[in-house]
Amino acid sequence: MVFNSLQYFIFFPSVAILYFIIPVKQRWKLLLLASIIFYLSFDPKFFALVLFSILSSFYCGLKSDETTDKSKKKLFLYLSIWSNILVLCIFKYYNFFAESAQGLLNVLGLDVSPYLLNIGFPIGISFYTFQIIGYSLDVYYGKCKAEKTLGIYSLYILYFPKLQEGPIEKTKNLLPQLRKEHTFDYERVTSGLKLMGWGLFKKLVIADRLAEFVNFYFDTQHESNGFQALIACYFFIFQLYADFSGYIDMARGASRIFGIELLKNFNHPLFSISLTDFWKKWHISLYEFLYQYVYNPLVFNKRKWGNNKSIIFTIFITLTISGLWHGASWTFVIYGILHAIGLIVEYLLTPFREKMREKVPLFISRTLGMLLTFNFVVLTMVFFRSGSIEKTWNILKAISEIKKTEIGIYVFNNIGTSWEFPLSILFIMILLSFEYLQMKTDNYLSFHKKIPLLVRWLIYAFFILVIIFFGVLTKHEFSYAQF
Amino acid sequence: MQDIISRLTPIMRRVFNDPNIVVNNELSANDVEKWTSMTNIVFINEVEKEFGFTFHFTEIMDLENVGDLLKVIKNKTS
Repeated sequence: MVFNSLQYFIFFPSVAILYFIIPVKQRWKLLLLASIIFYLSFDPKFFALVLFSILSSFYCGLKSDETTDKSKKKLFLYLSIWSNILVLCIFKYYNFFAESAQGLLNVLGLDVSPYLLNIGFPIGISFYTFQIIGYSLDVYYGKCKAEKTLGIYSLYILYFPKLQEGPIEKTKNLLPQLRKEHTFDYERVTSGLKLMGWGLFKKLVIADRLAEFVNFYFDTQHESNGFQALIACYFFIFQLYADFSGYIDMARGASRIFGIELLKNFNHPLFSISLTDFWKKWHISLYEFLYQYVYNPLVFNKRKWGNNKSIIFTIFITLTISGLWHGASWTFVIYGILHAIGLIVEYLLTPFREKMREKVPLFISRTLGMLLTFNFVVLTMVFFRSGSIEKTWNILKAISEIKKTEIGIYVFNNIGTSWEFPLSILFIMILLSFEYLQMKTDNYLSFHKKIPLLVRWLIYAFFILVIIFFGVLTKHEFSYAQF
Repeated sequence: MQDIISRLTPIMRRVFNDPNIVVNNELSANDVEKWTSMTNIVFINEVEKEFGFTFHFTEIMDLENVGDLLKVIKNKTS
């Protein structure tokens, strides 16, 4: 039951209406029941797996809180974290490790064929495993008390708006909100609905429209026209952003209706002025998780090496983990490593960049930074999307060998004879305009309220019509659901 | 607290290369462009040097703003 399915359009309003009808004290129970139904709608066979994750981390948290013995606390922490990492490794990474080992042994002349799993992929496992790790560490370090009610804790892991693609919630943000009683608030509910609508627009009209071009190229045409490759690579960043941020907007909007505010996951990353800036704005909940639980402890531990060495080492480890988190493939590892190299170079060049910035007007240095960052991200995303190193190589090779005739053929086939391409460009422009407007308006909601009521409703009607007429209504999965 | 702020201000201005930083409780990494994951550890090292103590990792793992940091420094110096 993905967010852009007909089932969800029946499921969500039913849950929301029931939520406000039943007594306030019972509402979290309804959300838990709804979350279990939501989970079961994907693949019921994995329910025992998520139940194991919930029970193991819940029990370890309680036991850790009960004892003052440091070694016992550590034991429960390790039990909770490693049992869940083990589950993640088996279901997400086993085949990757097995095939990589096979490749290595084949190079050494040993012919082995390991047993590979073919059992599918548990929904949201990367997201809720990280959330469990964060919770276990918070309890261990005394940053929060262990949750005493199994039902509330289960809801914390299974909560359906964020189950499939996050955001990766922080204990101190989500858990206290689940314990609170939430009443109906007109302003909050309408604000949630608008956010859901904007998310749906981004998914159906922008992401899925661009997906037609991107999928066609990456899945079937990756050795042909270089100009087509270039277009597909640029379209992919907009597709991925509209897809993932569209999902997050729908998740945050739905949750806001229930009175539960989920973490912000994006802060206009397409306008980032440096790679460091990009990582503060793109998939923020993953960045903050890695920063708090991987980067910070590691850099703190290694600081005796000196600032530069410890920072370079830690960036490399953290970004490689970030790449591997995305998927069990060497292309994702390379994606992470490329970003690590980019961040390290940026860090080492800080004095030079400072000098340059003093010499040129701020507007120019920011625009240059934005262009460099954007193009670097587009380039690295080829690894992210292609699925294999060989395919990535072919794509980059095709781009480096673009011929004028290829541009002509592409323009003739896609611009001269069809509306699809110009429409896609138009929707990218709409996305960028809204992003820019939101970024430049400190308080977007108060700005929005200044628009006369009639005009506001005309805008809503326009967007609804655009979704109906221009949205790709055939069900496309959300990109980050595979992680 | 004012004494700590006056010792913290020059460190922040130097490390984050911004002479206009005004230190207050609400100031956070989101408000200072060059306060990044990379410069943060340099900043922590400089604070330790200035105040003559060593942070334990748990004390700084979830600082949200300067106000949180001021509380930790006050606890360690009082």
